Amino acid sequence: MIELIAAGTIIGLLFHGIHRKVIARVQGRPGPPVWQEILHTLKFSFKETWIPKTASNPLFVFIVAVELAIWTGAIVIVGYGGSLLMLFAVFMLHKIVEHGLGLSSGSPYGKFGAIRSVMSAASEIPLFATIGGIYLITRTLNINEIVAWQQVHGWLIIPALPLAFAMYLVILSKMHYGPFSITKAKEIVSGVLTEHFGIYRAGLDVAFAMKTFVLIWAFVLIFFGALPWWLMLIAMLIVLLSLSFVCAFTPMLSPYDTVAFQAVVSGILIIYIFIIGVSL
Amino acid sequence: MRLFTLCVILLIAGEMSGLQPAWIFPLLFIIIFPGFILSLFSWWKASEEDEDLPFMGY
Repeated sequence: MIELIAAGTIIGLLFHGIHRKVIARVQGRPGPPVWQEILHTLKFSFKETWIPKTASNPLFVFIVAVELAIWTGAIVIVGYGGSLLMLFAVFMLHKIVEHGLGLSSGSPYGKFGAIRSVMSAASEIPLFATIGGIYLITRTLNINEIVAWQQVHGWLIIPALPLAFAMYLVILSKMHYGPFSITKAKEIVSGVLTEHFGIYRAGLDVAFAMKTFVLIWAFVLIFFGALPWWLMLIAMLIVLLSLSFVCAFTPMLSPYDTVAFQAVVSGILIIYIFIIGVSL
Repeated sequence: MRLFTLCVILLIAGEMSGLQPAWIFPLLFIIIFPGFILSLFSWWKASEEDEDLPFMGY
């Protein structure tokens, strides 16, 4: 398991670097080297760090530890083939951490980011739709059993394409520089991350790297089944590249458009689930 | 820092040797890992007491 957590961190940071590189190349810029995010994290970890006067000290530090803990837990859950519900509970906790990050700093920009995080809770509804739909098709929420189901029935993405789209949208909503990244938008400096710098930002970078790794890994595992590790990495890279292309071509939506878009997609999915629920 | 490092080493050693029950590693590692990361970064970060390098000019 330790090798998985270490690999998740390094691959996640590399994925963030590749994400930035692809966006830059699509937009006609040279972009940073792909290992930039690893250097970035190390740079932050070496920096002198203090806590702003306006911050709530215990929460300011503790929330970083919570973010690290929940995504370590997510790697453990997927690694052991645990329940999909547990993975998505982690996702809910991440939302609370986002609120905590923004509110703990005392910065108005952080608070705006936290408020946007509350507003964009609509992005979690496609997540429930994914869980419900997967259960209706496979009759299980255990990741190991979903993988086993695919060995008998083939890729889950074929009968559950709209559910894959919903989960893809959820992952997209958590990607940096994406159309739904309103909690960290530049017009509010860095949103929920504004005041977290130095070792706290480095800790958050490690947690976000694990988040990107585990979400894409879970996506491939749930919709394409178990693959040899090298094929899994290639599949994850392809999913990441597609996300990067979407991020590069799409401008950041306003908070209201973000919520409206996600709510419409959720509505369509709920109708779809009703239909498959009746037909199965 | 030393305490967290010791805990992490003991947990990894226990897992690799197969001596500890399988559920101990994930349970304790999720708690210890964040503390280890933050204490590691706190240990090697730039000191708050030392002055910055003076600007040397051209």
